[in-house]
Amino acid sequence: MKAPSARIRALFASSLGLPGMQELLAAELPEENVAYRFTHYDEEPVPKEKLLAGDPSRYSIDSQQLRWVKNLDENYTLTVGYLHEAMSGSSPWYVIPGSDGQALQVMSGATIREKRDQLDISLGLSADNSSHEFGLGYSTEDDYRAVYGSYSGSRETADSLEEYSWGFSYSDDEIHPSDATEFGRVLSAARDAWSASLGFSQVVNRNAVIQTGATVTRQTGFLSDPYKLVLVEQSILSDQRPDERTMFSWTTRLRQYLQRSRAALQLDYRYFLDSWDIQAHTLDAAWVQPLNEGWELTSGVRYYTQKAPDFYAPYFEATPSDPYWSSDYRLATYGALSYRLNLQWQQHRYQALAGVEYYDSDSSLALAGKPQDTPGLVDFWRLSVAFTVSL
Amino acid sequence: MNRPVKLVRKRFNSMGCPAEICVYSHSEQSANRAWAIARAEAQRLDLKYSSYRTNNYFVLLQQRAAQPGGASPDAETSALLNFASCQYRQSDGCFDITTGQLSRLWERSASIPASHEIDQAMGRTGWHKVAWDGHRLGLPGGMRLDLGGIVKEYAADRVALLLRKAGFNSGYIDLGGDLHIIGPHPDSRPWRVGIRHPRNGGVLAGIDISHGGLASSGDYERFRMIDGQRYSHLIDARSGWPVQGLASVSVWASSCLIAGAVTTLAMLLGRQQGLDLLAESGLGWLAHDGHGRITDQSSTASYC
Repeated sequence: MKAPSARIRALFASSLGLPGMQELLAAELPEENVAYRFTHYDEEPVPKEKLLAGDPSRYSIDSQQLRWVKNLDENYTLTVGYLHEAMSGSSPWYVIPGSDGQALQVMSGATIREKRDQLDISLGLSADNSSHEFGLGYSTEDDYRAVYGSYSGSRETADSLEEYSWGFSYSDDEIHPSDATEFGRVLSAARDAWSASLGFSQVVNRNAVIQTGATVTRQTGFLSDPYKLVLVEQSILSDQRPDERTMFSWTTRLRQYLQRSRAALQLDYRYFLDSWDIQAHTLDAAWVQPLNEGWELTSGVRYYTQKAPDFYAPYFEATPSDPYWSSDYRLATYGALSYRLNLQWQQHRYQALAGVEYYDSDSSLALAGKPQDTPGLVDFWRLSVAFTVSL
Repeated sequence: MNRPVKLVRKRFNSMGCPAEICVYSHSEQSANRAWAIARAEAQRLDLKYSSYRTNNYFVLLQQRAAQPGGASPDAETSALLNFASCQYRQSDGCFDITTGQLSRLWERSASIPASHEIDQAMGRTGWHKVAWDGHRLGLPGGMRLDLGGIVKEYAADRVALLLRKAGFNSGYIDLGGDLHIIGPHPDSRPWRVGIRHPRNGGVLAGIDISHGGLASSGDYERFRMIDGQRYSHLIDARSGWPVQGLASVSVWASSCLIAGAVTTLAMLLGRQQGLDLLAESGLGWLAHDGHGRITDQSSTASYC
C-alpha cells in the first residue's frame, strides 16, 4: 500500500500525543520477520557448433538466502542476512578462430565446484522524516574474500511529496586464484571499490511517482579475471585489464498506479558509462497486477545493450598498442532480452513468492557498436521461491 | 501445557451505543476479566467526556474555560484537543468540535432552520475563536465543545491497549461500530468484519482485518428527513449546513482514532473531494455514494 498523504501523516503524528497510543501502535509494527529464498540459476550449454574443446555445460548455481529483520524499538531495525551459494559447471576460457574464421569457444576443462558464504548485518535508524542505514558484510569463497561497508540515508520533505537519498559504500577484496602455479595465474591480488550515490524521488500526482538517481563507483587494483585467457596473435595470454575503473550510472524509474485496473506499471531506464569506454542502456518494464485473496502477479521484460571497450575482442590478430586485452564475453558488444513472471501471495503473517526468468543474450541484439562474434554469450533460466513469516 | 481456548462474546452498552467485546480466552473467569476491563475503560471515557451529562469533567472544564483566565485541561484532554485542532486544520475548517449548537439546531428542527437561526448558531461556532495554546483553554461565552466525534474511536483504541496489556492477543472490541481488532484468530485467520449497506440495512461487504482500527460513518445514522430530503447529522462548520456527500465511508487504519478521523473527513468533504482524500490516504477504505456506486482500495474486501 502506498505512503499516506500529508494530511493523514499530520493526523497520525497528532494522535501519538494521546496516552497509550504510541504503545498501541508500536505493538503493531512488524516486529520481527524471517525470510527464506531459494534460487536456482542454470546457464544453457554452449552450442556444439561454437564449442572447440572442454565441457559444454556451463554454470549452475543454487543459492539459499536467509534474512532476519527485527525492530529493536520504534526507531532501530536490525537486519541479518546469510547467503550460501553452491556453483558447479564450466566457464568460458578463451576463444580461437576456426578454419572458416568463426570464433570457437574453449571451455575450462574440469567441472568447477565452488561454494560461497556471505554474511550481512545492517542497522536501520528512522527518525521523523529521515532514515539511515549502516551495513557491514563479509563474503568468502575458496579463492575470494570481500569485506564491505555501506551507509545510506534518505529524507522526506515536510509534505512527503519529495524524497532525497544518498549513499556511500566501500569494498575491499582479495583474490587467491586456485591452481595458480599450475596455470601460471597471479598468486594473489587485491582490489577495492568506492561508491557514492545520490537520488531524488517526486510524487507527481496521487497515482505516479518518479525517481531518479546517479551512482559513481571507482575500482582500483587487480580488475582482470585470473581464470580467463586471451589469444593474442599466436600466444595465449592471461586476461589483462586496466587497474583503474570509474563507472557512472544514471537510473530513472516511473511507478504509475492505474486505478481502473488496480494495477501498477513500472518503467525503469538505466544508462551506464565507464572509463573503459563501456556504454550500456537498460530498459525495464513491469506490470504488477493484484488478483483476489492476496495474490499478485508481476510480469516484466528487460532489454539490455552494451558497447564493448577497445581492449575487448574474441581474439586479437595483432597485439594491441595498449597492453590490455580480454575476451571475457561479459565485456563484448551485445544485447539481451529477459522475460520474467512472479506470483506472490500474502495473507496475514505469511508471504510466499515463486518466480521464473529467462534471459537470452546475442550479438545481434546490440543497439550500437561493431557486431562481434562472441561464442561465449550466455542464455539462462532462473527459478526462485521465497517465504516470509512475520513473527 | 496449552489449555483449550474458547471464543467468548460479551455485550454491554456504552456511550449510548451497543458495544461488544469478543476474545479468545482459557476460562469464563478470564473472559469476564476482559469484559470488565473493556466496560470500565469505555465507561470512564463516557463519564469524563459525554456531552449529554451536566456535571462531568469536560462540562466543568468548559465552564472554567469560559471564565477570564481560562482553564488547564489534564494531559489526556489536552491531547484530545490537540488532535481535534489538527483535524480542524487538516479539514480546512469543515471538521470542528464547536458545531454542537448547529447539530442541536438541525436535530430539533422539523423543517430547514431559518437562516437567522443558522447565523445565530454560526456565531457560536468556530474553533478559530477558541483560545487553545496546548496548555490553557479559553472559550468565548455560549460556545460548547463536543468531543463525541473523537472519544468513541479513542475509547476503542484504549480498550484494545488495556486488553492487550492484560494478555489478550486475539479478539476485537466494537463500540457501536467503531472497532479495534486486537489480533487475529489463534490460527492466524483475520476477522471478517461486515460493513453495513447505507440503504437497505443489509451487509455491503466483508473486510478481512487482523490488527488495528476500523470506523464507519454514513448518512444512514442519526439523519433527519426534512421535506423528503435526507440530512446527515454531520455539519460542515464552514456553511452551517449538513453535508451532502458520500452515503457511507469505512476506513481501516492502525488505530480506530485515525480510521474515524479519516472517515469523518471523507464524509465532510463532499463526494469528489472525499473520494480524493481516501485515494490519497494510503489506508484501506470503502465508500458508497448512495446510488449504488462503491469505490474501494483494498484487496481484502469481498462484496455480498
